[in-house]
Amino acid sequence: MPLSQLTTHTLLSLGKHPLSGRTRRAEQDAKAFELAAKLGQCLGLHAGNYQDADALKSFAGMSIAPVCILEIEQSADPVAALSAYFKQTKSDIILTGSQAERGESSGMLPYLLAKSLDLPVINQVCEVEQTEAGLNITQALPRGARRAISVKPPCILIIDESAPEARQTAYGAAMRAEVGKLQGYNETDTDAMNFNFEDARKKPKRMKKIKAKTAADRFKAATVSQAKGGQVIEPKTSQEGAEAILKLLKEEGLVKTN
Amino acid sequence: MANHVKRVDPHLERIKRNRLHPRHLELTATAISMGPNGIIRKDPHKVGFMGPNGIKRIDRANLNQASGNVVSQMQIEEQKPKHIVENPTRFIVVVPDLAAGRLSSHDKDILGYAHTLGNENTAVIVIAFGEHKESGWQDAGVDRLLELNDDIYQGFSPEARIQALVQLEQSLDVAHFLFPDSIDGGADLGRRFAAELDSRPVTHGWKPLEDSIICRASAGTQDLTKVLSKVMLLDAEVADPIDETQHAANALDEIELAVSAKALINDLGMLAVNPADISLSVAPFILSGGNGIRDWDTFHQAATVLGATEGASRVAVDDGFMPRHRQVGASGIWVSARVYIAVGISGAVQHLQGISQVDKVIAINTNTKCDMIKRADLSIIADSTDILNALVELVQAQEVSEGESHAA
Repeated sequence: MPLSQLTTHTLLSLGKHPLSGRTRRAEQDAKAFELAAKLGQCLGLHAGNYQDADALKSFAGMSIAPVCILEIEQSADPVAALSAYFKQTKSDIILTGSQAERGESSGMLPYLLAKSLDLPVINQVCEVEQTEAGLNITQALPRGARRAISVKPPCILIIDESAPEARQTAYGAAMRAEVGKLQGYNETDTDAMNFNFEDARKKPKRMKKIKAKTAADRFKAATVSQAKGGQVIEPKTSQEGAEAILKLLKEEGLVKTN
Repeated sequence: MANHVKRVDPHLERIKRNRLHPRHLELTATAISMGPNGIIRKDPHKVGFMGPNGIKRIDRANLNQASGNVVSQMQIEEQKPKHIVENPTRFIVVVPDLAAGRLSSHDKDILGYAHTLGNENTAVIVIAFGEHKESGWQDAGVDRLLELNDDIYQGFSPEARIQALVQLEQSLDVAHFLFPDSIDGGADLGRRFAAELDSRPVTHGWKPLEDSIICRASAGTQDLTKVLSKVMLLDAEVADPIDETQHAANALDEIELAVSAKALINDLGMLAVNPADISLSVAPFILSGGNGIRDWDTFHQAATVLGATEGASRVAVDDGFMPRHRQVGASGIWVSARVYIAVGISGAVQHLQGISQVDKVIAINTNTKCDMIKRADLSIIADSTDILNALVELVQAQEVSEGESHAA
């Protein structure tokens, strides 16, 4: 039995090159778009101003799917606009990046959208596979670990950094592409109007604090070297040495204990 | 038995009674004593001991541990002042990641920040989801502890955890919910919870001000000052961890949670990952080989059996035994493993820089004087091939016995 065709939306945002500050495609959204290419019928959607259409053409230059702008005012909340859009247009999968490269960049959009649409949301997604029961998702955890998750569409998936690299964007195809235009629902985000952005200050490096209460302790901290070597074993048999190593590995949970 | 018999040296007893004896002070002096009001008193005349030339010496740095007063001084210092909140009126909830089952340094920083937000009637509650191995709650600044380790909270279970947090929010007067903004789970859970409460959270907060906090915005390239919110996601080093007080860490029993097991997201468990595919910079367990290895086949076999990612020193790479992308060190890859086994690596400065983030280092080397052994937590002085062979045999024997016990 062939699997049913899924409709997918990828939420696209404008990126900012970390060094030059130039507008570019958001890297995580490009990865999400790449993943969506495998999942069937897809649309790239951006909630914002239509003046940004030129910058969004770099997504269209990936030749995956058409790109469309849900036009809202500068002060409007994109969550409200997207929520209103998805209440009318059903989508099986909504793919997003984990945080925007511009603005507040709180990473809240997928969660707020999930709350308003009452959908499950899964973060750190690096692979998606369609099965008869729904979707099998691989979640990327720290230190290279992976977890399998199953969920039934419709759902919202947040892409992880370790998802497959996005393809390059072709300049000619990008320039030829037409960016669609939809009228979005405007709801003013009053909190965000008062935001005052500054250049990021450098985080100070944490100093090592010596919390000695007496002069003697301070003297000792300054003079006696704190470095102490670990346990040194000169095993009589190699068996003995291997057992010492295995004991430490078991304590750290890297080798199964029986 | 012998410990209970009080041995008396009559010679010393006589000196103790004779105030004019030259050694009298040496035996009777107690520099630190309890005064009548329970205050510790120090007698400056009784400090020190007679040196070999008849000159009084004071061992201020306690370098000579033979001095009799050392033990009592240590006991007095070790008691941290207790921080007890009898009748809390306000609560601050911290949800730590408990990555690898223990409070991470990021978690401890958040706990330190939680204590800067409250007054003497504010209790800091920690909610520990899932199984953990942590025992140092008291020293980390936990006033109340709620351990939720039922089956529904295990693994990836955001729905059950959010239900529990929402019920807690309804039953207690919680001023702030603090989460570490980390990929170990805090970033996800905190954002879910903020969306559930429909409150705009502080995210990537890193520098506390009086009633506000500076947050990173625009993917870390800009700063944005936000007022303190109900839900806050904070970066590491937002405040100093608690280390000068001892807290109660009482179990929070009075809360009844009714969490339904119904979930849309099903956790199917962890996937087996080929250790060779994990990037060396994030690999949790690295077996690294250097110039001291004679038998590289044994090395590769040991890495496979132990499930370790392979690394190498510069010499091994230059000699062509390992590919360049496996080189650990300042000119190769900076690793952050939890356990790093250095086989036949003497420990050049560049290599030691590359492993500075590693928690536990095990060295297998024949040279007792090499720098790697000074850095290592466990050093085995033996031939590397023998040890690796023995290790492979031990692990394989254990797997066989496990297989038999499963079959039986």
